[in-house]
Amino acid sequence: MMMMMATGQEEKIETPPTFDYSAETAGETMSRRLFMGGMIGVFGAVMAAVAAGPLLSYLWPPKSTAIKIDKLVLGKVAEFPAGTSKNFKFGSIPALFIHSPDGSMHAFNATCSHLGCTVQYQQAKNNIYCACHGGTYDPATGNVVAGPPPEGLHKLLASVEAGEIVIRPEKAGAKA
Amino acid sequence: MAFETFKKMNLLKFGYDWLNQRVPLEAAIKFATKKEVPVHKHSIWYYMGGICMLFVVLQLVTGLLLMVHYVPSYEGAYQSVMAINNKIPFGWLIRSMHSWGANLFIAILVIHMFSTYFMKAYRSPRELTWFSGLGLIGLAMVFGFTGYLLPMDEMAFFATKVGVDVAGEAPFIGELVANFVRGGEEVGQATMNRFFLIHVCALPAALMGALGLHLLLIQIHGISEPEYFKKLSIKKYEKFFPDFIMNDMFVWGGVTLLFLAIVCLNPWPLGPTIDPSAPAPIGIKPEWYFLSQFQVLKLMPSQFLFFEGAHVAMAIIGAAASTMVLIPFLDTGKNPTISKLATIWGVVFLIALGVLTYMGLQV
Ligand code: HEM
Ligand code: FES
Repeated sequence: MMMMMATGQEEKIETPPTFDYSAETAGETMSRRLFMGGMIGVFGAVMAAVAAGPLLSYLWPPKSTAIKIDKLVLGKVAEFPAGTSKNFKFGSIPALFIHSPDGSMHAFNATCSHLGCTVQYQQAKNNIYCACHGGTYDPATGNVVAGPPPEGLHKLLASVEAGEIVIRPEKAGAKA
Repeated sequence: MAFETFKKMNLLKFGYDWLNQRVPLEAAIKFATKKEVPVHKHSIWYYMGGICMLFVVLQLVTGLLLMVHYVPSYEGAYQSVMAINNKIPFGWLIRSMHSWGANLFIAILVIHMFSTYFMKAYRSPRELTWFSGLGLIGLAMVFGFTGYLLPMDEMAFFATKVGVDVAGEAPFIGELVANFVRGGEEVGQATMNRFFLIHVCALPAALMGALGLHLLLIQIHGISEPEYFKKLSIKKYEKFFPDFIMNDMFVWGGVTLLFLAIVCLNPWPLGPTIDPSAPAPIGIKPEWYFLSQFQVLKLMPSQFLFFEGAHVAMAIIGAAASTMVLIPFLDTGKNPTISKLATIWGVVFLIALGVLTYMGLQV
């Protein structure tokens, strides 16, 4: 066949004799054609389902290894005078440390409860601000002051030990 | 073919005949000369689709050129874009053309979409043309979103982070989808790989398919005529080939010149590099074509009736978008009241988009 086409010779294709399906299947509830069509459909669906599993698991991101820590030394107290702040990573959690103008120290999981942006401390306004949609939190409690966030920030513990600022999860071992 | 006969023909005719014996060239030309474009006071909008096509070509060519020097890595992308901007001869031009082109492309798409909307070109038999068009503008927006990350400057990083997090807020499957898109729980190398391959491989392929369908359908149906034009006793037409195509070329030339002027006078900037533990920068904003959606999220209070504000915002955005999908079924042209309502809704939609985008631009 291929060779004949290559030499340019025409070949008359014989059409198979056609059956009158309606006559042949008269009285039956399902025609042969419908059955074959259905089978092909089912077969196709099964093949697609079989292929989908491996494909999805190939594309699926590998389990990320969240780094959990119990303690982090942020630095010497002298590096963070009252009124300053620092964004840092507590394990894999974005975190925020604030040394308030009144001298108290606070630390939070810096993930905004609205849509998960990382928040920052605004010294001039003494608040915690989320630049994404303008969410504002209280810098001492982490409670929502304004904007769209539905709940406050999760707290971390900030303490001074031997002249160094130490950050811990609020309850030892608890998820921050 | 004998050499003697070949000598007798001129080369052009030979080429034409050779092709014509193998593909229906004559039929295609006949089709193009028979095709007519109505001439009326709204005819200018018929050129918008052609301008979209110009931008498709510009984006493909400049994108291909950028890929010669761009490095799709979390660590190296920023450096490579810096080099394209500063070191590689005419790199700044190619990059500016691609970035400006992406934005102007979407702007023209919006104009094309609303001009066909107001001309009611979505009505039968052109529903599929309209849907393929919606698919195309959707693809263009995904192009924009995935492309925005690639330079890996500060805004790119945070806009992507926020954009994907928004998807993560969708009820039930949101978090799964977000992780899938990011390739993990945070924006990183896996995200870059996914965005890069979507941007340079999957989307162009999908665009070609959708655009092919769009253009095929337009050939099948011919250009639509506004209602008032259909009722005129004397209608003016021009031939698609060569008249309309000729005008098209003038439009393409003019737009290209204007485009180059914009690009050269305002080369596209590159922001500072990223610090993943830094907070979202003040003034963070998505690209302008996502601003209206962004603004709805921003305006929504934390609680709305019994629902979380962010969910209500997403529902509003989804409902508004779906009116554009449903419009060919709602306004079929048989009911003049509905037709008028569709026009009013289009105006409201456009004004809302404009006002929200303007609000979004104000920090
Ligand atoms: C890659 C993007 C696109 C390209 C290259 C493109 C191209 C074209 C071209 C060349 C035409 C014929 C001339 C004209 O009426 O302007 C056309 C017509 C049309 N387009 Fe698009 N288009 C795109 C996206 C869209 C979008 C986003 C929509 C709307 C959702 C849309 C809806 C239509 C409709 C309904 C027509 C028929 C107009 C008529 O018959 O009067 N297209 N398009
Ligand atoms: S993510 Fe913080 S206000 Fe929206």
